[in-house]
Amino acid sequence: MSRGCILVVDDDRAVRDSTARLLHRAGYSTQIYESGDAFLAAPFPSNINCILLDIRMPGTDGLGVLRILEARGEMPPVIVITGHGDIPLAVEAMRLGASDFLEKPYEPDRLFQTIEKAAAMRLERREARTVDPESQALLERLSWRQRQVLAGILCGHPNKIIAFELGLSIRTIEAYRAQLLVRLQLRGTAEVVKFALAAGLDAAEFGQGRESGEDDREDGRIA
Amino acid sequence: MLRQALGALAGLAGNKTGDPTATADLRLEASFEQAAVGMAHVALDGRWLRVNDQCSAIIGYSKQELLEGSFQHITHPDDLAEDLAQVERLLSGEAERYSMDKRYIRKDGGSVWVHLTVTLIRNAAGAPDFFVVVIQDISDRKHVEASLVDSEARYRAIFDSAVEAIAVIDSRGTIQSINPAAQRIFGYAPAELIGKNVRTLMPKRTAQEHDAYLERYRTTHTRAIIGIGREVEGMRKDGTALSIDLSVAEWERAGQTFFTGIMRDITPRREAEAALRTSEERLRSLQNEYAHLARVNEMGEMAAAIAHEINQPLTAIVNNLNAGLYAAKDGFTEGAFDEAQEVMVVASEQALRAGEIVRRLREFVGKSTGERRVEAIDTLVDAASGLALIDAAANGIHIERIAGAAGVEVRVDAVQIQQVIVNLLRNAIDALMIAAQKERQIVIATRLLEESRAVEIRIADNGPGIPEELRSTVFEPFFTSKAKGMGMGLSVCRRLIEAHGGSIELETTTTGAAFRLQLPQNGPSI
Repeated sequence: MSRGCILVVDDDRAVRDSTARLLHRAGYSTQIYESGDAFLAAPFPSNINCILLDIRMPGTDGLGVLRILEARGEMPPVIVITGHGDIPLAVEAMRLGASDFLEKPYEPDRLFQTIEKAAAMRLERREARTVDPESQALLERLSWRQRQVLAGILCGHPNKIIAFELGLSIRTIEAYRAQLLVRLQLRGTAEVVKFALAAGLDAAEFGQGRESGEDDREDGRIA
Repeated sequence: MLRQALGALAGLAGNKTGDPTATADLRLEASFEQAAVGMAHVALDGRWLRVNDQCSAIIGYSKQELLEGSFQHITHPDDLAEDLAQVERLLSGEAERYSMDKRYIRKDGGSVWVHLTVTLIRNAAGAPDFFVVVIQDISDRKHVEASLVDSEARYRAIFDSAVEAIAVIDSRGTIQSINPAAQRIFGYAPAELIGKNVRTLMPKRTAQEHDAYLERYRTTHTRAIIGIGREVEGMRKDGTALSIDLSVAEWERAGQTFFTGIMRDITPRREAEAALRTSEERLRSLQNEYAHLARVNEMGEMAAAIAHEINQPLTAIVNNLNAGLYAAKDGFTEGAFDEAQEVMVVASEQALRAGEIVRRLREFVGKSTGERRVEAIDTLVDAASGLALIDAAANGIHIERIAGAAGVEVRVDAVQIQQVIVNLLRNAIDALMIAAQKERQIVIATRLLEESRAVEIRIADNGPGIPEELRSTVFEPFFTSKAKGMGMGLSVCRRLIEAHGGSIELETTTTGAAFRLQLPQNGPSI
């Protein structure tokens, strides 16, 4: 008896096959598709746990598939698989209704955890896209500079660009990032991004001039 | 007048046979009067006693006029003192005769150069009686002398004022004469070099060669460097070397052979050429570095695509190996072994796949040696395409490859040509990705051109194309239409291709963009 059916959509044969192999070993059954178009064209199987959707594909890519699914009104749990540096795409995917994103290569445990979490969310409505109050509260408590750095990360900018835009040194930015991880108890950029989205932070905030009157808590003297 | 005299004398003589004395006198008379030189008798005080016709003709006064005067009056003032001094010597008995060149002032005012020989005649008692003067017109000689002096002075001036060093040596190499330019060029005063062997002006090696030339010439009369301008090495007085442009001429005089060498100091020119060569080498190495940097930059811009491509096999490896671990988590059953075997095979293949991408990347980014080798053009194009099109499929770009130059070879620096192809393909991909179009296509075609026998590579895309107004500037440095582009690419491409004797052009197309690359084929004519 399988733990559920996972759909794997990826244009790279080796990735497709290896993902399926791994999922089988973990007790899942799978269906694999070689492209977004192939997936959309095929009849939608019922009772799937979630979809592992590669973001970069020829033809209809990951984002395109999400848009079409949303238009169709059927949004099963979708985990978008991204490559390093695809943060802006991941953010967009989340906005379009993806449950989560995972950067490859990933540890199998992370994969399974993410799948289970996404499947659990299946029953909830899609208002998961609304802001999580807890995260929002945490966001409010950040200083303006910390918020700016967070916005920069949400944009997918490297530290160099964030530093340039904010008129700070790269080392300062690195210190802010480390500080954020500790403060928010997060374990890496992907989690930071998800936190920011859950807290309702708009990436467009990055680089905006500061409004007068806002004070700068805990700013300065960051070595 | 002679006849009259003869007649008179004959009359005096009276008989036909003739008195011997009278005949002798007649002959003397004839000698005096008929002489081709001027002859005169002059009194001790200088008065003309008797003159012949020639004397009159030379001096320019009639006989009568002369006889009324003395020689002092018609002697050129500059010559008078010497003349009188010589006369004194005769009178004092110091000498019996003297000769000198002097000038008479003619009646017409002009002067005439004569050669004078004056002999003192003594009377029977031995006392000075009168002078016998023989006068020769030496005007011609004087003219010749004057023009010789003038001529000599001119040639001397040429010799002395020449910028080049001019030396005359004999067949043994001894310097007969050398001009002042030698000072400027070699650092020797001419006087220091006269009589020395011309070897003095040469460094040891050249000196030995020169001795050999002269020896060969003396024995065989074959000319090695006569007449031809030749570059030789010279040596200054201070021992430093210099470059000389040498021409040699040969001439004879009085049975001896001489050589004239004209030497031009071309050291400044040689030094400038050497400096230029160094400059050019430096430029070439900078150009290679620049091309290298352009490749590195290209790779930087492809970084995301490359990283993504390498991630694929890595993901597959991780998934596979973990699947194997999972299979064996309850111990190595037979099924587990099979699974383990499968995953190891796949993981290994995928690792090689990743390695291949890395290898191509390193090959591309590495510094090219600049060495040109013979390559098959299709192979070259395919290798470059493999790298450049790494994310083409993932981006939904359809590639059409028309390999129409099977077996055709070119002599190129493979890295640099690949750089150009990669650049063009990346541009095509970027253009296609900007535009939101369904059908994305790149055509890569190679063929051999019939007429020129050159190889053509054509890379065309069906993207938005290049706007009319920008077409003429696409190959300029720093031209870019990409927001993040640095625009190094096409200008470097053109230079690299042209350095190989080829060309690159943008086609005039109605849709999309197409670049045509041409390279000369490797063959005997090249």
